[in-house]
Amino acid sequence: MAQENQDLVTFEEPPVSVAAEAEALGRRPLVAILKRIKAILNGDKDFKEDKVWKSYRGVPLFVAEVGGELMVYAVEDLGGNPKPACKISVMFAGLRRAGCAAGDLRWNGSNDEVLWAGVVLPRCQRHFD
Amino acid sequence: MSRRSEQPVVGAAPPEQRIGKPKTSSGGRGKPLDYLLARVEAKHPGIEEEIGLSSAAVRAGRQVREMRQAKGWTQVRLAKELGWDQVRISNIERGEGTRGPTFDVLQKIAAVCDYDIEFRSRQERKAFRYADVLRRIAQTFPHAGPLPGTIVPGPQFAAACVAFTGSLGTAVQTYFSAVEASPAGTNAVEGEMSGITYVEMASHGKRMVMLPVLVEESDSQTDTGAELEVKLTYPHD
Repeated sequence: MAQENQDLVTFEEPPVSVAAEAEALGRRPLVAILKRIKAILNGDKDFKEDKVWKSYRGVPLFVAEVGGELMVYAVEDLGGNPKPACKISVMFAGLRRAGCAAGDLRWNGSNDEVLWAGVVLPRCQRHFD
Repeated sequence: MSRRSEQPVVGAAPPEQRIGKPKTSSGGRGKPLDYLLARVEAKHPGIEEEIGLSSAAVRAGRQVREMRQAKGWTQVRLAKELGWDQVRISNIERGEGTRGPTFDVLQKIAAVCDYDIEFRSRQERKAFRYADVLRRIAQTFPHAGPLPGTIVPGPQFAAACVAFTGSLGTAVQTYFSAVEASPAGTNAVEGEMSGITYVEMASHGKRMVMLPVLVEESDSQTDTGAELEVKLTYPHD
């Protein structure tokens, strides 16, 4: 994806904002995650090298393990001619043991469907629908 | 976090997916990156030097991009207008560096894009945003009005907003009395205009428009048995 028109946003709620999640991170992983965001934004890091974890209504959600913590982000193809453009939405950037809730379940850093059902999916629904 | 190395990164990657046109779009939703950076910088002073990214530079870049796009120009065209290299525009828009462009550079870009750079108080900014919402509502309900003539925070502007609210009630009633009853029932949709969140409700063809309440000025009326309510508020000092 080209740099022109590339946009990057972070999601705010529910249940807590990405910014609040990021604030809970220690400085070292936070720096690592922000550096990764910068690299993606600048095109120094191709997001396609990250794993596609899920997709929501055709929008792929990539996951990156950065500094031991996780970042989940959506990439929308905005089209554009001659240069394509994309919009990157950070849906989660936080502690792997964040303990987000989905019903009676709590994410423990490995039961990833809870992270999906409890945080990322509701954000996708609010963000894209 | 000792188990980190033992745990797989969330799930296994599904079969290869090509990034194509999504079936949906986030539109203008989501907070720009500079909001996140500003919060992080407040908590971790000096972090911008470590990551080579700052809220000031990213915000300036975003605003330059918005000015350019408002003109319908490419980076190449903007660079040509300024007699600069396109790479320089690209760097500014990407928020390159931690300090962002100088005021002089921003002024030059703004000038060719037909923008003025002004400093506004937060109250002024709120008033402008609120006036923008009123203007957009007035496009839907053209019989409401008049819109506040001047946008200066204070009692005069508040009174003009309240007057608009009053006439809006009647305009909305007239508008929706002409709308055919919908069998769809009731639903509510949350939206955002100029950063002000509102809820729009539809019930059997009648709609209620509500905006966040700080100082409430409401106008409840009955329209052929169905309740019609309009709440518009002006954020006072």
